[in-house]
Amino acid sequence: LISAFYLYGRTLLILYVDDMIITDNDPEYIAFVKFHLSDQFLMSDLGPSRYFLEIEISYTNERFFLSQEKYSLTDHRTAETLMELNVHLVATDGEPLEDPTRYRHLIGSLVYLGVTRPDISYSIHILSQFVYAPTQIHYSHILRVLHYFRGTISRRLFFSHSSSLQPQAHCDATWASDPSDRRSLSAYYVFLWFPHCLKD
Amino acid sequence: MLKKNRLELSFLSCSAQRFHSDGSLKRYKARLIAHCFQQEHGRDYDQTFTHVAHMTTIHTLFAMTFVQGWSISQLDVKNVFLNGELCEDIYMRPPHGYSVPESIVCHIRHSLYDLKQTLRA
Repeated sequence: LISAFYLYGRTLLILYVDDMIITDNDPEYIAFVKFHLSDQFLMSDLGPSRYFLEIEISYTNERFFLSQEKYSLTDHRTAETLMELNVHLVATDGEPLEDPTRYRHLIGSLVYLGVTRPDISYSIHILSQFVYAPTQIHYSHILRVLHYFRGTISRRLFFSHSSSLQPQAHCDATWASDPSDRRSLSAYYVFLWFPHCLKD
Repeated sequence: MLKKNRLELSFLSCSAQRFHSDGSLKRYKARLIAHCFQQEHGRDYDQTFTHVAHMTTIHTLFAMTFVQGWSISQLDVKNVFLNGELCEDIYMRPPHGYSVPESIVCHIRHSLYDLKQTLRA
């Protein structure tokens, strides 16, 4: 089965292997699309979208939120910030981990968490450079990110009903900022709305 | 009949149990699984990746939908991997319990779990 993004009139359909979301301003047309799809494939209709790819979708009249609060954490320690100021991690810091698997799993989970938590993306960018041979020092930094996430778990991605669909792009770059290989770092963000991480 | 230059796969059926959250048995599951390690690249399969929607696309869709006030519906395709159509010729031995002559094999038209190309098909 091929996944794709179709634009047919006003109906938008996204397919992610076997998960599908359909959106339209005409509920009757959604029903029509659903009917024809279930004619071809065995499907279960999950009704209005609440969870898509582990992302929770919630809405009130004026406000929409995307969140991944269901990420389960058993550690209850929290941290106020993601990283200490002016930390320069390098590959040779500390003792290598005996089993790097856990570190790699955590990086994988945190990369996906970045979908609704762009605030952690810089830390993950730094920490994911060491997945090949992580050390105790890197591990302690990843734990700090988890503690920060624990303390801010209720933050969600906010979409306002009244915002315009005007794209806004921001970018920034450093010059040769990496202390080990003097590579530069660049980043960009494109907004179609004005998102904020809101505290509940 | 089995063509000489085509791969013959043996299959393994695998069973599992699904439980309710309270631990009681919900249902039994069984599926036919291909021995994909017998497949050879270029002969029995070509591409193994799957297309998925990009996260940016998903974000954009949500943003547009919310601003326009449209409704979102969600669907889930059952056993999606079994719907794929195979373009390669793949044959399998009939599973145990089928009484067919020794020389007869099945020609597979749709993908099965664990075939290399299942994600792509």
